[in-house]
Amino acid sequence: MQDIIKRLVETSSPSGREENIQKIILEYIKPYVDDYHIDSLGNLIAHKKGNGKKLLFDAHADEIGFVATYIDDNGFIHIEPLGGHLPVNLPHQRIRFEYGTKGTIGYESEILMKQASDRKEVSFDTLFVDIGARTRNEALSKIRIGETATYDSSFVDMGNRYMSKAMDDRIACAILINVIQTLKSNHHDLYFVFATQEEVGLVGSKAAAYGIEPDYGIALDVTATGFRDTPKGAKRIPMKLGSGPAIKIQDRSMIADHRLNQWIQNIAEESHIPYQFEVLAFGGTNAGVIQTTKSGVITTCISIPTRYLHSASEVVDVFDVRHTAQLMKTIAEKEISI
Amino acid sequence: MVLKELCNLYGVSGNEGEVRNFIRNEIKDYVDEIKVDCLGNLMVKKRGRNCSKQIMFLAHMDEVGLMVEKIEKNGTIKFQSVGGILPSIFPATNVKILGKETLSGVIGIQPIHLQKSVLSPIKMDSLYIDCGANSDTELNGKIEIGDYITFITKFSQLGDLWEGKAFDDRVGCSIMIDILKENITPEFDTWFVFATQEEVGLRGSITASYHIKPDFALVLEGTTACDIPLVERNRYTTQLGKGPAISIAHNGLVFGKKVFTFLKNIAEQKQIPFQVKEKISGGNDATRIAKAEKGTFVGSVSVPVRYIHSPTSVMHPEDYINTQKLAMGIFNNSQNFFNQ
Repeated sequence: MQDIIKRLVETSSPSGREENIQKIILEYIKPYVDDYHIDSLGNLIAHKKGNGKKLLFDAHADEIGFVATYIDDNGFIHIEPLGGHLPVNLPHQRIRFEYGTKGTIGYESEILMKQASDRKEVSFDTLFVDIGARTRNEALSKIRIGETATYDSSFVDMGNRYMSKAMDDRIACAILINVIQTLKSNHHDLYFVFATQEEVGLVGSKAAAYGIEPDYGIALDVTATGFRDTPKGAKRIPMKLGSGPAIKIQDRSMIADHRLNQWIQNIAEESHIPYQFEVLAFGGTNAGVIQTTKSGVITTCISIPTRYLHSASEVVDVFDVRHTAQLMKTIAEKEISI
Repeated sequence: MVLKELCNLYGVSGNEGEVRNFIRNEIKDYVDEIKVDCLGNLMVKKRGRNCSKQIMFLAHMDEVGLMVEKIEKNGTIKFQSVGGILPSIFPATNVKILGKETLSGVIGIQPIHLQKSVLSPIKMDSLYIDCGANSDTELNGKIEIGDYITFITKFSQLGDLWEGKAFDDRVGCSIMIDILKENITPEFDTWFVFATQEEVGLRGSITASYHIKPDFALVLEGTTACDIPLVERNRYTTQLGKGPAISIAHNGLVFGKKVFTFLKNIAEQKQIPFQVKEKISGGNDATRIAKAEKGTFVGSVSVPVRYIHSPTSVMHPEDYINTQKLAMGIFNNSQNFFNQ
């Protein structure tokens, strides 16, 4: 599984440009599914037939990124965000453009000084990318307007933990691939959605769920950790690395179905899978749009606790990854009764 | 071209009737089907040689404006914005209140010597409309709470440019009317949606897309141009006179590579100058259309407009012509999108 995780997180595929990652995911799952298709929004939808009700598993294939919008006379590339970036985290990060050009995000000393009194001084208006070009023409020979980019960061095996860009949400994609590859039998009619454009507004998932019309929906995503995980962590966030998958109670996009949560909790206990609960005061996941599809879907979300979300170095715990995969597989094998 | 007439009409979000009637009258002889849904969207169909795909062009009819919130005892009127408008641009603006009677008014503000600081931002609380009345009783039976209030700037020439209100998005409506009047039979069934309530939350386009279920959609818009003094080049977003702006991404949506490339290719093949929108802030109906039903291929092409969402905006006639050419190119070649 580690090889798959490494390959997925090192693939560059930001929101709206998921073609690369979908190709790789498809390679892994094709022999194990009954049918699949890629829809007009780029969602990869795979089907494993079963006799029971329709159960949808969703993980988003996109990652946060950037897009080149303007190249100035000095050959600097001006970028705009794809997904939620905190500009103060960006200076001096290395990024890699779609066709391989690498650069570092720069800003000028004047902004650095102003930043001390106002963090807003560091914004996409004052940041730029230095790709080593000396002139606009040289830059134009390397980058096209509209070309996207992601962090240039590689997978690190830290022993019990993994570090990379794009753990959000490739770690969930890897887990779903693992479920598809190892599942021996399933009661439910299973749909696996590798959704697009989650980071810019839960775009792909909404259309995919509309087409599938599932009876149950479970999104698999990452979540933040708080004070139990790091000494000065957020006081209102109880999630922690190494305590198992988090069953979502609520976030800003959804209050999860408590009957489905209770059932998941029961099977986790029967199967001796550790779990924790998640209540998040901010953010949302695809579960939020799946729940309100058509006349409504019984929905929840399972989260993998992750440190330093939306950075080039997101950290997950191998224990959590393993147990999340085990929990998802157990869910996929059984019949949901609520 | 009916841009001038369209911009002089009043159609604040939710009150698009006047604009809808005008458009309906202009295009009724050139279309095969006309529908108005419960949100007020005007949806007209141009039957194609082939009905296996549905193409949708969409522009919104509504414009930003105001609404009567409260009539004070002293005869002044408190108001709310309909759509996103900066309070700082309100003072001393002429408006019309569209009640049982239409009243002229001017937005008042405390005189400069009574202001705590001329630099402090203007808040809605300090603003009111003066329509010449001395008490609320004078206004009885003329206007009431909930009446729409509109900017009244008339379309006119500004040097080589055009000025007027509501270029966002009557410019899109006007270009769609131009295409319809050419009376060309397209390859695929093509719908033209004149949508409502874009400015208050992209609303009309939701029901229109679920109704039409397009296979490919194009949004024609007016978008921000910031090519003005004191703004650095990298913050322009778009520039006047550089042609239609094709969007890569905006709030809530990244445009697919297939769509972006298709739009760019048509512009390049037909040698139409174009620009790429350089900022992703703001959004339009494309976000709604993309997510409707099982998902839709959608693109967005915009005419650059300075001082957007204000009583007076400014645009370039050449941008109108080139956006019209590009839209026409897309209308005539939509079948190529599916053969890429």
